[in-house]
Amino acid sequence: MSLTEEQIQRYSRNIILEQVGGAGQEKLLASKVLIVGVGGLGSPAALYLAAAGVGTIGLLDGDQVDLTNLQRQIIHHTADVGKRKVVSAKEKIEAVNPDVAVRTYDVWARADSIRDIIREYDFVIDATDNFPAKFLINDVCHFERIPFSHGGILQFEGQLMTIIPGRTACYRCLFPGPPPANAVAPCGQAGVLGVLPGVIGLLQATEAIKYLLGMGGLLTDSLLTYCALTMEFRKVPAQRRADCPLCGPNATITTLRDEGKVVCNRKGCKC
Amino acid sequence: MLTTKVDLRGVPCPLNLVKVKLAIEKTAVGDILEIEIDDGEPIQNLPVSLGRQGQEIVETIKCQGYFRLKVRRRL
Amino acid sequence: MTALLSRGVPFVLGRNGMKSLQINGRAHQFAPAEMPATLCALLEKLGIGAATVVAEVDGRIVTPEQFAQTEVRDGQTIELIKFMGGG
Repeated sequence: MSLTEEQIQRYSRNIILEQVGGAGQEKLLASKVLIVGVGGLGSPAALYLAAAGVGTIGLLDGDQVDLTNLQRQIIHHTADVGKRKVVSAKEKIEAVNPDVAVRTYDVWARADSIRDIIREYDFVIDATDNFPAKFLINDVCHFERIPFSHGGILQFEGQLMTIIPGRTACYRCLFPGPPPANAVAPCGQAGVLGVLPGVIGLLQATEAIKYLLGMGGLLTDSLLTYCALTMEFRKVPAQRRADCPLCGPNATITTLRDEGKVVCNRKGCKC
Repeated sequence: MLTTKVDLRGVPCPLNLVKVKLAIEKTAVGDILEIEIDDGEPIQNLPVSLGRQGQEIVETIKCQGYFRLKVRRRL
Repeated sequence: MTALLSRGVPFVLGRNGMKSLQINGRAHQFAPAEMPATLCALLEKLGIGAATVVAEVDGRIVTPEQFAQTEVRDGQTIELIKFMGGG
């Protein structure tokens, strides 16, 4: 593959970086990233990965755009309310960068459907808004050995961690299983500062690009936490656990399963 | 030793630098890349940027309204 | 002592008989009578719901069901890591 005249101009700020160059840009164009959840985290991640020239972006989300999403889910516009999220996001990505091939999956992340999809990608961004999906992505990526970025937000705080399955601590090394139902309020009830997922989603996208280009150091074996109120970033060390139920030597999770049903009292909410 | 040539006359800054970088990537370390660039901004900027990148300017030849640079890829 | 200070280790360790814990990067001091005995008691003192976090005590992960049995001791470094399910 060789860059076209237009691509040389479009990606000139990437190419000029010593660690990227023409070879790195070609690598990005040949890469495939799956974004699970096209909401607060997924919106900025999708837009920036598209702008950067990640050649194939998969979007998985079974929801439609709601007016309450627009405060933070910046890939969706006012006119998109009621539209399928993956369709709305695909339109924006194609408008940003026609180089990107967008694959859409208008489904929910479920054990029976997601494995065959994840397998097709080089890197996955967990941008989901519920615990069952987060654990499912961790488990599928473990079984399929696909690296991914975990991201989560709540009110004014966010966290992320990059996982290279089989080599670095997984999500279950830190959180063996989901919290009891209703112990942690979903964003729909607890609220979330609109700019917060922008910060975390872009850090996840940064990890994706670094992984694809093999540059820098990844956020593995540590969880980065961010508090918008104090403007504090903290890196909490997270080692692989010998008794991790998924990636430990005596793993008890050996097949995919859904971590319970997603329940929420609000109509149309998948928290 | 090979010498590759690239004509960047009429290509403004900083796009000419991007194109030189792409050309250098295709040049083996130790080989020479011959670049033709415009007078003015390009001749003021490009040699400095290349030097900063650790490349070696072997020769600068002034021609009619443009310059010919010989650059050895060092890294 | 200076080296310890610069690394953020609580400098009051043992002084005036106060007990100290490093929680999420910050030093917390407790009078001996106030020092929580277990992780459960500590979370209660801090007003944090026990089901909303996992804890890392001196680098070792402690899951919520072990909080009641996990003793807290002077000088420990504790990370309380929230479950964050939003996206």
